[in-house]
Amino acid sequence: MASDCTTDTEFLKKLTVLYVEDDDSARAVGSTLVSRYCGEVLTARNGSEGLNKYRTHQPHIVITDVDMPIMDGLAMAEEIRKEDRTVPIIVASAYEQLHLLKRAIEVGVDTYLAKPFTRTSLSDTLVECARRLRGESERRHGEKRLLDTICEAFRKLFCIVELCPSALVIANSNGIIEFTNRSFCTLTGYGADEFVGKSIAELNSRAGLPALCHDISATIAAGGIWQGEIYSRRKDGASYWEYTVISPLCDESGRVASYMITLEDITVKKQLTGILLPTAVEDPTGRLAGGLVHKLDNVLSVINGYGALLKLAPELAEESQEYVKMILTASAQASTLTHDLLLYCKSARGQLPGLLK
Amino acid sequence: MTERVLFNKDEMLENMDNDTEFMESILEDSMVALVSYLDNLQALFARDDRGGIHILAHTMKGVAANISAPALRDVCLKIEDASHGGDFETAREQLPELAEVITLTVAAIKNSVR
Repeated sequence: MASDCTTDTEFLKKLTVLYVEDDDSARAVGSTLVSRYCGEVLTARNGSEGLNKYRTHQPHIVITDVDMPIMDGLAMAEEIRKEDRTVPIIVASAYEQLHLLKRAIEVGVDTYLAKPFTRTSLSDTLVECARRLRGESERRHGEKRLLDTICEAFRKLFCIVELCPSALVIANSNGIIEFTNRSFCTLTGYGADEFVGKSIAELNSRAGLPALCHDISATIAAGGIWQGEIYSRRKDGASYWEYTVISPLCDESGRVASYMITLEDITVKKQLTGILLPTAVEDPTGRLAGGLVHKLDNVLSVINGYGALLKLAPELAEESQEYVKMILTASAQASTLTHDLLLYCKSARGQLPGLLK
Repeated sequence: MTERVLFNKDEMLENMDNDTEFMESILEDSMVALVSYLDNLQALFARDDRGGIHILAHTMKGVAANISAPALRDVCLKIEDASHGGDFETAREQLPELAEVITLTVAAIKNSVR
């Protein structure tokens, strides 16, 4: 129930009360008075009937007499308490029955109301119950709002991680992979769940380098960051170079809670440094072209990465979204140009590929 | 008998949220019920229905409390306590007084709300 009321009395007006009393006269008086403070009053003539009505209607407050035929009020209260630890239960009885107070406390009754009610004693007791229920309602709403905020933050984070241009893998503290993002699938050709449940060592053994795996395991077991180049293999068997960083993520106590692994395809860079450099050394034009392509590639990585993140921003205006789309399209075209330029640099004959003509 | 309060109208009106109409409807029902309860109680004593006596005395005490009739409530309480303790002879001895107090209380109520 939403607690949008400014006072406990207003809140009480929205509540349903179950009033259990075997005496017709007392029930008529009690229920009429209660109805002046509460939203709805349900009545029952004994504990058994009261329990049934409680189960059917789930009232917010229960007021019950003690001495009743079939099932007394305390036995009913005991049964209700087994099913609901929070619903306020008020026992209404005569002063002569105060000796029942001990048993009432034992069964979890909240408060005791002496009969016959006075207007003040009844309204004070009901308002006190409403105050408690309102507080609980507001606490629950606060918790829900917090949970919604956390869920929304997680949803955004998940989108960012999922659509991040870098290949990402998350593993638990035992090194068991729990998540791989979309870019990982694009890079490796493996499905999103194919590595989930497997170890980091298995991830890095695609290239079949057991000695390297041992080095990785030893480093991360010591809490260190492992990074290095791996000549890896896609699912279809094609080889490529990847730059891998395995970072431990620690909890508040400093213990490793999980690992984040980023994988970057560095095949092009390796080709530039490993193949073009010898050419560049021999040819100043090739050196210049290789350097330009390398720098341009770095700039494009930044544009592509931040462009993709900007696209996810929910507050981005429609017009701005169009601009971001155009930036990303232009950036993709520029990436194609760098690849063509790379081919040109690699070409001993210096022939221009299609796009550069 | 004259020192005892038979009916406290102000107290009852206060307890009934100062709703005169509501108070009068409760009084009307209660007066009919009390007379009927007295007949039933006498019948229970005649049958020696001890469980029934205790329950009915308790109910009558509740009605008396609801209508702010302390003298009647006190007599009902004596019967309830005595029957609860198994002393049905003492409980039975209260019957004439109960009948008298009911008659006086009804008269006091009628006089008060007239």
